[in-house]
Amino acid sequence: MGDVLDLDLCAAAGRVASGTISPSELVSASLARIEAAPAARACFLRLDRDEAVARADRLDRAGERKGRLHGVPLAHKDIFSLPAKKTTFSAHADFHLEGQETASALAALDSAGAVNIGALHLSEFAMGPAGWSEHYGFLENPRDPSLVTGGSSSGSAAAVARRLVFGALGTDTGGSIRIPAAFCGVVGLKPTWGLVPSFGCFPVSNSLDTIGPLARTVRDCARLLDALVPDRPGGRYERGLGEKRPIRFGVLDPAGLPAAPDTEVADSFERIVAAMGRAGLEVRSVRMDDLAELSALSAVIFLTEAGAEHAARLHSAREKIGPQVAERLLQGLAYPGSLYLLARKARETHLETLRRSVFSQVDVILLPTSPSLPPRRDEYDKWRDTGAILDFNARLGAYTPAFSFLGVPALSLPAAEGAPGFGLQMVADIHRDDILLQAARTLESLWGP
Amino acid sequence: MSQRHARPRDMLAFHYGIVLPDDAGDRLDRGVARVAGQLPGLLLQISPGVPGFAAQRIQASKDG
Repeated sequence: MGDVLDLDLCAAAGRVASGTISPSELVSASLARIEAAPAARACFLRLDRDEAVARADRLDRAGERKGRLHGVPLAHKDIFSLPAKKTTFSAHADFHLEGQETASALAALDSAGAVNIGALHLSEFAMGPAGWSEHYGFLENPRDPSLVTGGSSSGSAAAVARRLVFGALGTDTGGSIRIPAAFCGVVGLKPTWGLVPSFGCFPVSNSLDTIGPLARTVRDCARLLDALVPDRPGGRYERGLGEKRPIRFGVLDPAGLPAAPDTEVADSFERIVAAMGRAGLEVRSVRMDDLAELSALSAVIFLTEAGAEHAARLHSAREKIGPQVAERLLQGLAYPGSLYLLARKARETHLETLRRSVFSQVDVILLPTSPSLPPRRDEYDKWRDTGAILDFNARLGAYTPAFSFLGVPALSLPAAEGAPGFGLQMVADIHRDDILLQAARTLESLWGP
Repeated sequence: MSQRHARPRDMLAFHYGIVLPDDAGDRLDRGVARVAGQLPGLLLQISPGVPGFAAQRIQASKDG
């Protein structure tokens, strides 16, 4: 029974559809693996065992499949609301919320037949690229327990990498899906901003927050995105993977990166580009000289909105917020309103520049997801309570916030050519999530089935 | 307090009554300055003729 968890999401759903396995059998296998090891159980801040078993039983007895996720166990970052459940955000107990309506993303997956197993670990208030919570600590990286998982969707990446569930939702405000996906070796998709409805998802920064899937394969992510976008019926994204459209890949000139990559990251990236060339793919070099500026603009919007969201907590209960999160939130409160509004206005100008200078030549931009491989947990612990950790965090997340600012879709793809913990970041134009997924599937097929 | 020369920590104290100890205040001032310092030409990036982001977003969603 345990082997069924080694299937990817689409294969597992196919087994259910063909009747060779039941939703209850899948859910039992998932729960057994979660409960077998403390490191696996730690991925869950809340395990909804009874509800999952009951749901699977109902799906067993259903006359017809509810959808393309029928009977598939999933779990999600603990940032989505559900009635009669506490949502923790990995924050202090005084800030947990209870009794909210079902988040629209969870409802969409429910409509497609998925089984929600529980709520997953995250960085405190979904802020922090390492995966640290002052109240719930770190998770172990499934590949090497001495390493961080990345964050903020730490539990989503770790649960998928450990094969506890077939997919998970995360949220990405400045890299929170892409970075843990890279560090844990799974696929993480940040769709176009606004594509996935966000009702019932606790806000970090409304102008940047994006809900997206983490899963084992690109096809799995495409299927999950199809379920999350209710106004695009017919499996648009998964179906699009089969199109024979030639993709023009643009390799970002490293001179434009806002921070120099570590040697292992640079070498991994070079090996991937070389492999693409050997495979006969159309690859050309592209430049973006404004990445550092875009990251700063993203920080202004991110922190101003997050600071305002948490202003009352900062005022009256700051000691209950972890110091590194509190410090960033305070920074957000200190930016002038005019700077925030100008940063929002600048987005349009920068997006037009990107379209004119880059997306007129290529369909997808390639760069590393992070300048670093996952750091050691003890290295992080050493600095955790000092200002230096903010610089450390800024480096981990140096390559992702620019694309959050622009609202464009981006994805992190593990690559056999890359060092463990390396993620290849791929970026497409707004609402070209279909091309992004097709391009990612093209590369995935270079180093796998 | 002089608004003209106010440091970020002074703004927090003035607007929100949040008073930081010196070390945290220093880090806050440096953090704000570091980000703002990367945006010296922000006003130059915004053309009066460019439509707002919301308008562009609506058009993009129609195209998409």
